[in-house]
Amino acid sequence: MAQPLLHIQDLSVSVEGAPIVQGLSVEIHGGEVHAVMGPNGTGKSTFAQALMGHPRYEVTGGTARLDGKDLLAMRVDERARAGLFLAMQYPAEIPGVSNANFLRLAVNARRGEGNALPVLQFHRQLTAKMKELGIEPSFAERCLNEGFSGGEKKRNEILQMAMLKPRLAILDEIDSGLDIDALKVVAQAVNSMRNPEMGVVIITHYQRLLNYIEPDRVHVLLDGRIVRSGGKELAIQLEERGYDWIRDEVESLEEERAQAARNTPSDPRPLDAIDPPEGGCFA
Amino acid sequence: MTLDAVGKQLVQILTTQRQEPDWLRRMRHEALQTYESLPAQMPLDLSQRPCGLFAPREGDRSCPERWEIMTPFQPERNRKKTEASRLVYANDRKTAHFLDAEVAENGVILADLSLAVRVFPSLVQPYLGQAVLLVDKWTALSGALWNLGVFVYVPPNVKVRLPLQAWWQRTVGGGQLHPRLLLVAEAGSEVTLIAGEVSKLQEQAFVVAVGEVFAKPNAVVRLAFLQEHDAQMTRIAHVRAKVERDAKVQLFMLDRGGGVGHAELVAEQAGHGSEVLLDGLVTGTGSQRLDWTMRTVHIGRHTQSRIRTRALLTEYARLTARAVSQIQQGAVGTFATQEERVLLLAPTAQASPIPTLLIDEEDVRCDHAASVGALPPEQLFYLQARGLPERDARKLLIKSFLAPLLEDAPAAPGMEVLTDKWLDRKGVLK
Repeated sequence: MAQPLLHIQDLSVSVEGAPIVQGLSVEIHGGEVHAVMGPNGTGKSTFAQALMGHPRYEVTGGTARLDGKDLLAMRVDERARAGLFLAMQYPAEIPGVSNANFLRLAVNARRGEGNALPVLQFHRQLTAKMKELGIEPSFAERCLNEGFSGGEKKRNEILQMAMLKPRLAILDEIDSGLDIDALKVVAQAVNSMRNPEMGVVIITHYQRLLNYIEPDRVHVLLDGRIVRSGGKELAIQLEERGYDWIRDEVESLEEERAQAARNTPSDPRPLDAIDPPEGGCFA
Repeated sequence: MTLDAVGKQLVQILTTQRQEPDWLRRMRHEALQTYESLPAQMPLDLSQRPCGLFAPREGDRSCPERWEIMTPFQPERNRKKTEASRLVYANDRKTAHFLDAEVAENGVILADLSLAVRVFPSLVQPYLGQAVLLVDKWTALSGALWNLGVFVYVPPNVKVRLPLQAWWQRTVGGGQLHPRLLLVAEAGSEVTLIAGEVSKLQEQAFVVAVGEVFAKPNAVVRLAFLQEHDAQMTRIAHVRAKVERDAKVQLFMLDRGGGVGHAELVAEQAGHGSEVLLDGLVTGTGSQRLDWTMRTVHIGRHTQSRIRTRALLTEYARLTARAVSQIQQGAVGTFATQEERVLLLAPTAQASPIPTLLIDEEDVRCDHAASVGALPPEQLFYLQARGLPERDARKLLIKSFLAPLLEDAPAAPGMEVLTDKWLDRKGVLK
């Protein structure tokens, strides 16, 4: 199969009429890990949830394509089956549905009809992955996220990701609520899954997680837009200096742009179009 | 002919044709008088529905043999050896009556109540009409005119392994066919009974079903009472259990039909240390209107009870579900819990759970919980975000909602099949 490609162009998202994400563009290839950073309330989670199709988030403009397929035209479950995965910041607790049972349904839904994984094989895979993630075997029979600690929930999200083998995974603040050991385990798991068949987007506040999962690209999100992109050194810079210097830079840049806009002539035609043509009546 | 005259004539025909003894004849006449003297007091507005003893337009209609509600409890056709012990009425006729030889040898009785009245009077007379008294117009009507009776008797210390079954199928309208169940479980015995009413009608009908359960000391009784009625059926059900010392009784009620219904499930816990589980499961569609009351009455010391309701309502279904834990003075050490949960699958469906605790004793423990809501959107999104189509996600959530009730149900696998089939009906999951 070809390498996955997520192409997002000018994506705008509103929540209850308020614009949150405003013209976000990014391109993520298989094998790459992108980190999206930014202060609280700049639209990081909104971007992730909207891409997954949460009904609360309304996409007001732009396009999002995964492997050339229009994600925004798909239903939530179709996006998931197309290979999009969102490890959620706050996974829902679902009493009465066992973890293993749910995962098997999800894996089989992803594999498509007539291609279901045999039960034994599924359980073998599940046990192996759980061991890798340092998850207790009793986990499988517990109800989905019910009564899980913060760390357990996050590990469960990574377990699902490992089982579902997405083409593009978004990890929404997977580091929040994790102690340092759990963080290492999760990071290790993500690293072991890195391969050209999967692109990863890591949404985080802190650079800490990026010490363990080395990103190829770092994007800074401010007011719903990517205002700066760079390599992993950008994350280190952010950790040292915070977000304010970027905000200042962006603002002064915008100011310059606005100034420039004011200086441009009001007639939008190119200058040579205003010049009288040769051989005209003025000649 | 006036209504009174109709009642008198029907009682006359019944007692003569079935050669009923004097005590039963007197009982029926007394009940008829009560029926005629009492006003129709109903929590439901029945003014638009015909009720009482009206005659059907068409008195003789054939009954289908297979009903969806019965199939999960029927043995497969080619396995004759495991034929289910059952008594089946189709309208006013008995169409099947079978009792496993091994069970019968132990003295267990599963019989037509009218027959039992004559053959085993000493087993019937002390119990018939002693749990469900003539407290209102409709129980009085049943007392006077029950004509489709089932009698179950389990001798002391006999444990019946496989569930017994009693079914009432109905295609005839009118208000002159009334089921009656009498179950007596002697000390130390154990029995599971699946009793069900099902109807498919061409005209309006009315039915009063009354069940009486006597659980003697240390007996274990599990009764599942299932109803699947036509939208043209107006129905009253009253099941009452008398629970003696250390006995355990589970009454499981399932309604998956349409029409208008009123049901009351009561367990009287006079025996010390008795334990009662009342479980109600409603799956309502169309313009079904149900009014349910589940009540435990704690009289003895150190009794336990648990009332649970789970309801799935869609379209214009409406449910009022009352849970009442009544604790009398002297019932020390009572532990009573209530839990009523309703899932509305359509914005037009309505539910009112009404938890009630009536406590006249200090030394008791009680708790109650009630909730009404739609499927949580966050849970739905989570499941869909993992690739489950909306329909499957909804089904999974609904099944997890029902799971606690279904796991403990008598003949649990059959009950699960029934709810699955209901969920697969058109329009339920959208």
